[in-house]
Amino acid sequence: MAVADDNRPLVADEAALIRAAQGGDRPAFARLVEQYWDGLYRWLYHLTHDRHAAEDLAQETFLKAFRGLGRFRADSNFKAWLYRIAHNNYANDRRHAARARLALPEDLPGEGEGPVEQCLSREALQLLARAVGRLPTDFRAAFLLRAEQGLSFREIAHALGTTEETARWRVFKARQKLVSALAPQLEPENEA
Amino acid sequence: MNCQTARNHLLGSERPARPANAVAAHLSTCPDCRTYQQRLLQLERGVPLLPVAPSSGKVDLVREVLHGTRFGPVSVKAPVRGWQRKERGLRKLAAAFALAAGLLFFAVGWWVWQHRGNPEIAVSPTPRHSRGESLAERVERLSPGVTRQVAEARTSAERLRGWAHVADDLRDRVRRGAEAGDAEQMRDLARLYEEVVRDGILAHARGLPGDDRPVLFSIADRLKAVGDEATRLAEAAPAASAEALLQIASVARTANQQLRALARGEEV
Repeated sequence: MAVADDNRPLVADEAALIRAAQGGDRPAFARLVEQYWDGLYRWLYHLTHDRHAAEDLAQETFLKAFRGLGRFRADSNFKAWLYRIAHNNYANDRRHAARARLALPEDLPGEGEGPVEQCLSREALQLLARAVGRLPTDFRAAFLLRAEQGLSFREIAHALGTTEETARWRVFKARQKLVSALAPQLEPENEA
Repeated sequence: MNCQTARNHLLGSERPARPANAVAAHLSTCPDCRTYQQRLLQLERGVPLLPVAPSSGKVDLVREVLHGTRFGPVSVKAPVRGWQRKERGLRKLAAAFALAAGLLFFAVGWWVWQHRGNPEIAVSPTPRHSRGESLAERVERLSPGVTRQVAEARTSAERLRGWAHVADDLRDRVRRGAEAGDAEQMRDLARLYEEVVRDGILAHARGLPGDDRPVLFSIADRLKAVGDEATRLAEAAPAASAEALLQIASVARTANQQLRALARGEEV
């Protein structure tokens, strides 16, 4: 199966890719890595605030996913399953290493002109990054899965190993804290 | 619908951009809440733009998957012929029947042994409400599926854990409801919480065999946490919610003490 040259949308092929990967097809699994790496790495980066830790955790997640593919049920959600493995890795890592990863990503380069300005000012974006970084980890994990990864509350619950109600509650509290912290920076758009 | 309720709906919604009709109706008449919604949407649109450190991990990992040694071959099952599949299926079926029969035999024996000369510990798994609807049925109406653990429980300890799970679910609802300030809803939740604790947790805790009683400590810890949290929430909650929250706090604290006493082997 082609990996780099094939630019077909992956989502439609996902079930076939998973079946192929379950049968030992490495290129199929490589396609899944290509599809999910960016989102997973971003999520882990926002949880750890550490590039190397996020990369290590993402790699370990895919390794475990590959080894556990035989147990993955075809009728379940692959993305939520993958994030659940990642969350377990992250939780284990936090428990065992207890490394200090409190630095917030203030020194990162900006994303360039364009969409940032259409949405939030650069200053507001920096403040948003800090405010998200200050959220309690459970709230942050759930909120980012909703706002960035687009997971439903049910899928978030599965990924974080909790109930749907708790997942909803964590997103609720995260949003509430962020709106409250950033209200002055969030200028309402002009209404027509 | 008041502003606080509308905002809580937005905060707890999967898609705040597409609120339910009642919320949308409120938004159409309330500029402040529209602003609140816009801020929330703006904030969520900003999240994917948050900077992260660049990573070359994907390229490395794809290379490793394709050519490396860490990703060894996935164990592939050998194809199974038709007659083999049939035979395996029959064997599995026979084993399942044998297991089920064994379990049934054990369960009946255990039940008879437990109830010999000790008739007072039979606790209904689904306490009945005066209007005929069981507590489990009323909880189910609020949170479909939440009493499954209770329904599937085979032992008092499992049933107790099931009711503790129901109480946790109600706790989550209380948290969310507290800020909405809907007095009637909070009163209903408080009443239901009290019944779940009294008729679900405490009733089954009393029937728990002595060996299983240490489990009561962990449930007591959860109730203590609920008591503390409900008290804290009551301080900040609208007056309409505060009374119900204090009732919940009181129920949780009392139950915490009673469970600890039961765990120590005392009669409550």
